[in-house]
Amino acid sequence: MNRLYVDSVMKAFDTKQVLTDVYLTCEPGEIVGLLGRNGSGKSTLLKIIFGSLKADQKYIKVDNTQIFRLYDSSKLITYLPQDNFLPGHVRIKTIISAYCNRENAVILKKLSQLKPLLNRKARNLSSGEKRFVEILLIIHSDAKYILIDEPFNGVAPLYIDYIKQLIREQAVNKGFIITDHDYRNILDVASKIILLHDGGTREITDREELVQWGYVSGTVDG
Amino acid sequence: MRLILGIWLFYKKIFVPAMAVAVILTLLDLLLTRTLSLYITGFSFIMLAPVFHFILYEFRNPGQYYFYYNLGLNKLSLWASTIVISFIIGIILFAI
Repeated sequence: MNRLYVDSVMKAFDTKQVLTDVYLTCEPGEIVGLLGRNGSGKSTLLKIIFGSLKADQKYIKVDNTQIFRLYDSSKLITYLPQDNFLPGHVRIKTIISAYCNRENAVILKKLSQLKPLLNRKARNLSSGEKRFVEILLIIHSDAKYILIDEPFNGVAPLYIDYIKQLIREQAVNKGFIITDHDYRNILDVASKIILLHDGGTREITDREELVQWGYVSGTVDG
Repeated sequence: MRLILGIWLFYKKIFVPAMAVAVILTLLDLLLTRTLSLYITGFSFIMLAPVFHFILYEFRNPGQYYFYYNLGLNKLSLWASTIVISFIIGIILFAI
């Protein structure tokens, strides 16, 4: 079956057990919103799925391929980390050519928001501009499953709706797992909500459950 | 093709400072011995490239590894590329 399957993930840092009972799936066409308090292990889980962080135990499969390490996820999963990762010494147009296939590279290079940045080196961009470029690159990558850690952090409000629209468009053929502390935007864009609580995952079917699990206080809007 | 471009982008950042220091060492050797030896340049470059790899990526910008991970290049392959490319450039300098 075509899906990203994540089960039995366990991870401890020193004596702190961060992940104990993780189960989630993501299919092409799905946008999974991963919510959780600070330190609940959201970024840790995304890194484990991507393969850049070793888990104490895990069972991760993409379609029929089991993911043991980073190399196995190549071309199947891309991951946008919290921190900027663009190489400062490279021009944006070259970065786009390296990341995207020819068709998507043409689309990105024609975007009015990116045109003024194309000939600039990544180190000369502001943090917000870098983040915007990174999100566009990841969303337009060839991978079947895309993991995004805090996409809306530091991005101008003007671009947030645009990014959500792009994610919805690209999710026709791809699966997305997105986490962000701005939970309203996650609730808005996600087709499935997963809450990380006490090291385990809970699927949220009713937004009021977020209050019951203690993730937000009061009524959930958005 | 995009994989090769990724390796080149990664290596470009190491090449410039490693070659600059190798050339400076060659010039110092020229001043001391009055003979130009590209052997010094090649040998210095082979030794310096992994040092700059460590300083620029492992120490100063570990987050940039994710850029290359997403291109399908893991840390082992990036270290291997640094060593192999530097060795080839060093050998070419020996041969001149």
